[in-house]
This record gives sequence, C-alpha cells and structure tokens, in this order.
Amino acid sequence: MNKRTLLSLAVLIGSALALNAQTFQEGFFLRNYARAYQYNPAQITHHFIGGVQYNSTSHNNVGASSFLYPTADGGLITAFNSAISADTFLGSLPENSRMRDDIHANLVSYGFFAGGAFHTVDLNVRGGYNVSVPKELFAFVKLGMETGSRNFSNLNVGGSVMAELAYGYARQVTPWLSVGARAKLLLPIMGGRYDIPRMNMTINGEQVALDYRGELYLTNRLTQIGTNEEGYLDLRNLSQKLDLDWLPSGAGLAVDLGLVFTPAEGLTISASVLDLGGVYWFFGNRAMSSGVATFEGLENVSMAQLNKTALKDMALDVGNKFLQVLRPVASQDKWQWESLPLQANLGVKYELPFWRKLAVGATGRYLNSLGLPYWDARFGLEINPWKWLDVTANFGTGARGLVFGTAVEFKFHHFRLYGGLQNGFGGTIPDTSTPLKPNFHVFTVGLTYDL
Amino acid sequence: MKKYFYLLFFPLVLWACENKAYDTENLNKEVTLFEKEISIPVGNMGPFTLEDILNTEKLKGIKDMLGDVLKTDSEGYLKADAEENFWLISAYEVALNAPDLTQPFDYKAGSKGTAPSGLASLLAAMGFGCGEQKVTLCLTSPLREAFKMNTTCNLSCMNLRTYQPSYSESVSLDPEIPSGASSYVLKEFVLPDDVSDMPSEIEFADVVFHLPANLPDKIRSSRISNFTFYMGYTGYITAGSNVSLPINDFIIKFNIPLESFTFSDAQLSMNLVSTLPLDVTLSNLRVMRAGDPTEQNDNIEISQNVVVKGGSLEKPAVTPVTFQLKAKEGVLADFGGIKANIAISSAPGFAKTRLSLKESVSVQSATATLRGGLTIFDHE
Repeated sequence: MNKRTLLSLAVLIGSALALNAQTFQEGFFLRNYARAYQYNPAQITHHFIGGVQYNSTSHNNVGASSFLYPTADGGLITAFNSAISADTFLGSLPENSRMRDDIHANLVSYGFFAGGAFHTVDLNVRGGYNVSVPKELFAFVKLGMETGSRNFSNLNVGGSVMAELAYGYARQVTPWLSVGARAKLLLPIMGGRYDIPRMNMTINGEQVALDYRGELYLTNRLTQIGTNEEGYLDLRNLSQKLDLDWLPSGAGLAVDLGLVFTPAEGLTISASVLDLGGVYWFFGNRAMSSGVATFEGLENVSMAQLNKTALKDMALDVGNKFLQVLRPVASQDKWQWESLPLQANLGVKYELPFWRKLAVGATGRYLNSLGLPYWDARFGLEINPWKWLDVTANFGTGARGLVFGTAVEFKFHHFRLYGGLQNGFGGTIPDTSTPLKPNFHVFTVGLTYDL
Repeated sequence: MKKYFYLLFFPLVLWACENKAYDTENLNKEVTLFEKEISIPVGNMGPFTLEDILNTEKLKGIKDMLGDVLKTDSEGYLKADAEENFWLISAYEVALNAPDLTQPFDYKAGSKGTAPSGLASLLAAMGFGCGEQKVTLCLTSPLREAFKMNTTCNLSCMNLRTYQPSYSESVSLDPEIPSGASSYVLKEFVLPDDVSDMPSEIEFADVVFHLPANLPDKIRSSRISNFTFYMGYTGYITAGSNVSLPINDFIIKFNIPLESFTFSDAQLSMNLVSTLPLDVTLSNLRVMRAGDPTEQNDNIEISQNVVVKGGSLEKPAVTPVTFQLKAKEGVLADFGGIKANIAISSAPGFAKTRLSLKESVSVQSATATLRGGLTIFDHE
C-alpha cells in the first residue's frame, strides 16, 4: 500500500475533524496581495475577483529521519533494522508522534467596496487528515516485552472535508485604525475519526491480555454502513445515498477578528485571531469496540498435535480472539461539537523612509491545534522593485526549530499570480515532500484579478 | 514544478531541499521486531499418559514385551497376571505304582516348584516392585472319589538384584480332595504389603496322595486322568525403590517453523506436573535437524540435565523446568526436535504406589521467551 493510498484511506476514515485556518502569512508583507484579509480581516485591500488559491499545510512533530537512517555504504535502513539501537530510535521520538496535513482550496473570492467598507466573499473547501501514534507502540515493536504492561492509548487517526462560505467586513474607523471581522459558515461534507482511548497490553508469563477500547465516529451522508446480525459494522453492507439530501454532515460557524494600526506613514501593525468557533458534526456511522482479549497459550495439546498443526491453530485462535475485541459494534448516532484550532497572528512592517521599495517587519503566530500546538516568530524583508514584482522572505524560530519563508507576486495587466513557501530546515526525502525533521510546512499558490 | 518554484526565488530554499542520503530507492526493508525479547504464553500440553509414552516408537518394544503378562484393571492400574498348570501327574501312572490295586495305598509324588514365569526377573531387572500380591494354588482331581493328601506349600521371594531372600512362608496341608474336584483351592497366599519382590519359587513339597482301592476304576475319564497342580498369581506393579530404566536417544519431534524467524536465543519455561511415581531425568539433550530428525544440529546449544520429580495421582509433583536454546552462530533455525537420554528412576516415597497407564506428565503454564528479534528480510 503506497503512501497515497494510505493518505486517501486516512482521509476517508476520518480524523480530528477540526482543520487549521490556513493563511498565507507571507501575504502580510506583499503590498498588493488581494486576499490579505484572510490573514487579518481588518486588512482592506482592493476591488478584485479571485480564482483558485491552493494552500497546503503539513505539520509534524517527528521527522522521517527518526524512521530512516543512511548507512556508510550509501544505503538506507529503517529504524527497525537491528543496526539501529533502540536508544537512538526511541530517543528521537516524542511521546506521541503526530502528523497532520491540511489542504485549503479557495474556489472563488470577491472583494469590493460598498457603504464605506470593504466586503469580501469566499467560497472554500477544506480537507485534511491527522495521525497520532504513541511512542510506546514503537517501543513495543522495536524491543518487545517479557513481562509487564505497555500502554498504547491515544492512538488515533482522522480526517475531514468541509465547504466554507465566508463573508468579510472591514472598515477604516480612524485614519490610523481599521477593524474587521469575517464570518464563516462551515458545511461538513464528510469526516470521521478512529480514536483508541484505551489500549493496554499486559504480559505476565502466563497470559497476554489486551484491554482495548476503540471509538469510530464517521459521517453517514454519503454512505451508511450496515450491521450484521450480531450488531457489528459490516463493510459489505453499504448503502449509498445518491439523492440530494446528503449534505451536509452537520454545520459550523466561525469568526475571524482583526485590527490594523497605521500609527505612522509606512508602519503597519496587524493583530488578528482566526477561527473562533467550531463545527457541530453529525456522526451517523458510529461504533465502539471494547473488551479484554486474552491469550493463555495452548490448551491440553496432545503429542500428535504438537507434531502437526497445533502452532498454526494457535495463531489462528489468537487472531480470532483479538479480532473479536477489535470489531466495532454499531452504536447510536451522535451530534458532536468540535472547536476549530484557534490561530492568533501579530505582524508589524515598516516601509523604509529612505527607500520605500524596501520594507522590514516581523510576524508572530500561535496555532492552538489539538495535540500539536505551534508557534513561530519571524523577521521579514520585502522588496517591491517594480510594479510587476513583489518579493518577500523571512527567517525565524518556532516550535519546530528554525524556520524561513519566501513569497513572490507577479502582476501582469490585471492579473496577480502569487506563491509562497514556509518551511523548516532539515531537508526532505527525495521525490517527496516528506520532511526529515519535525516541521511546519506551508505551500501557497493563487491567482486574482484586479477590478 | 514545485522544485523549480522554490529554486527561483531564494537560496534559503536550498536548505529545505531533498537529501539524497534518504533516497528511498536505496531502502533496505529488512526489519527486526521485538529485538530485546518477546514472551509468549505457550500454555498447557498433555497430559501425556504413561500409555501415550509407551506408545511412542522408542518404547513400543518394551510395551510389547510386557504386554503378555501385564494387564490393566478397570481403573488403568498395571497388573501382573500369571497362571500355570505346572505339575501334571497321571493317575494311570500312579496306579502302576500301587503294590495292590485292590487295596488303598499312599503315593509319594515328591516335590515340584514353579514361579510366575519370567516376569519377576524382568520387572526386577528394571527395578519395579509388586504390591497386593496373591498366589492361589489349586488341584484338579481326576478321581470320582474323594481322597486325602499331605503336602507342604512353600513360597519364597528373593530380591533379584541382591539375590538375597526377602520373604518366605511355609504351610503344611492335609486336605481331603472332594470327588471330581476341579481347581480345588489348596492354599491362597496373600503377601504382606511390605513385600515388593515377586515370588521366586512356589513349591508343593513332599506331596503324598492317600488313594483309594481300585484306582483305575475311579478315574473320571481318559481325558481327565491327571492330578493337575495349578498356580495363579496376581499383583499390581509398583514404582519400587530401585527402578533404573535408561532410554537413550529418545526423540521428541516438534514442528516449529523457526526458519521463518531469526531468534538467536529462546527460553522455554514451564511447570512439569507429574503423577508418575517415578523421577525422570533428561540428559545429553541435543537439537535435531528439521529435515532429518535423526541428525544433530550442532549449532544450537540446549540446557542440560532436567529432572522431573515423580508424584502420584493423589499427590502430583510440580517441577519448574527451564530449557535454554541458544545459537552458537547466527540464529535458531533448522529445528526439528530434541533428542535426549532419559533415565527413569524410583521417586523417593512412592515405592508402593501402583503404576497406572493413566498416570501422566503434563506441561503447564509454559512460556516461551524469545530473544534476538524477529527479522523480516527484504526479499526484493
């Protein structure tokens, strides 16, 4: 199963459903970036219509270099190769290895002035997945266990896709202050997650016991999973919902709030909080797995059996016993509230009075992403040598170490094409964007048209 | 495309570029799991009864050898059972010795002894004992008229390991044998509990028949014309106190697919629960090859000298036992079974305990601890 399939599956079966607010932070420095209100709803830009903007964020607190190790002869081995010590491998892992990838596609935007205010409308699609694996699980697979207990709790995987309709309002209230707000109506299309709040394995010499609880939350607007006679979810018993009443799988509301100060000519101070709110999900496919599976070994095996099939039978028996505990039993559908990860931004930039084409500044951000909070602080430069070109770059530090970012915007007639990248240091696996170190990576590209 | 985009604008992007050392084209997918140790409960095996053990290839010969004389009672206890018409005296020949057939006369038949076949020697050689022994001596008369006789019955036991007499009993009899008696019981010896040796000699000594006149006319028929002395013996086989039964090169075959794994060290711990009233010592343990269980695998060392203590059905003995398997080089592989020399000896305190085919050895709470990891090779 390749990475793409795994990723698709992860998205399909659900996730911590709250997706990050994805903003083009470098856009704060670009002088004529039309969608700057997405970073701070108080940012008044210009009359425009926007085409697609693609924005992806990958955030992980463990890098691929914890799992892959180059060898002296030019090869590459995994952390589970016996040449890699447990101390080296496990020492490089956090208590929970987490990864989340979000994609935010802005399908269309429109910004206009009316009634002395700047108004914006956006139609977006958000999607993403996340995975969290406890270190204890890696320790068990790497080292094994003679006796004792291991706690693999808090393993989960989830994902979601939702549509977003946003309306923004910004007004210049004084010559040096503008305020703004943006309301977002969130319409979940599909989502779900599988949480394992309890998974304890105990080996005491006479018995292997697995105390397990798994919880499946999955929307059912596209597909309803049926059950078998015993009440277990049965993936062979799916009913498609092709009629038009299949959307949404709940509803959500969030607001962005912002202030922009311009206390002096060329100086801009920006403060915003994004995604205050959440989504009320309807999980029509819900199931629980719970129980204790035990294995005590063979039972009264005869000498003849020992010579033949006893061990194979034993393996099958173990598998069946444990599968019985893992199988999800359908339970009552449920509405559940999930808050969006709150993001707070602070930025300042100053166009140098002796050469206004050059600006310097700084940004700071805090993202309250569940289980994977993030912050960074950056120093930035921006240069706008010609009207058709605007370039910015920044450098700083954050929760995942040193970070940098860069962006560029081209203007051609009324079109503005822009793109940018935020990344950390440490490199990636060739031909993939998989980071080797813990990383926060944002890639943005988009197009607008000035009206 | 994205790469070119990065490179276009800022040298810093280079810092975030691909690291060729991590090119997954060169990835070796060999992994070793549970490399410190993993412990798996193996559970309970058996009980392996004495009958199961005697049915194994190696011991089948012994079972066949004993089969003629050893029986089992309804509860499965091993029983020695022997009977023999050991002395036949023709009435016609006796009549030839009569001085005057028209007159009653005495006939001195002499003495004759026997023993319960070669069973005593066999069991004694192995060191087993006997208990609850009973010897029945009978006479079948060929005459249609009662008669009297005199004799002395002697029974003696000898320890065949030391050749010292261990028990003797003698009794004088002068019974009147009824007319046409068939298997008339002359004497029934019930041996004391502390006698574990089987009778080495049972003798009718100085037999004298007091016969009637006209003896030939009193003979029942030409087919029943002998004075027939019969000996019947029963006794239960006990563990004894001197059992010494070596069984060399006993093979226990296993079908464990160790070749699929790369464990270098394995430990198998268990409680051996024995109701056999015998101690069993395993020595000179060797690991045999998977393809040919008669060939030894010298690369695997196995722990030595395991003693399984004996017990009884009422009081099973529990012996914790640990086997260690260790590869001298590489991993544990090519494992087809274990060959061992087995020494069966009497368990102290259980000399008088009867042997039963239902007595058994069972493995309880067995746990396998495997070290060295489970390696899954990169076959690509």
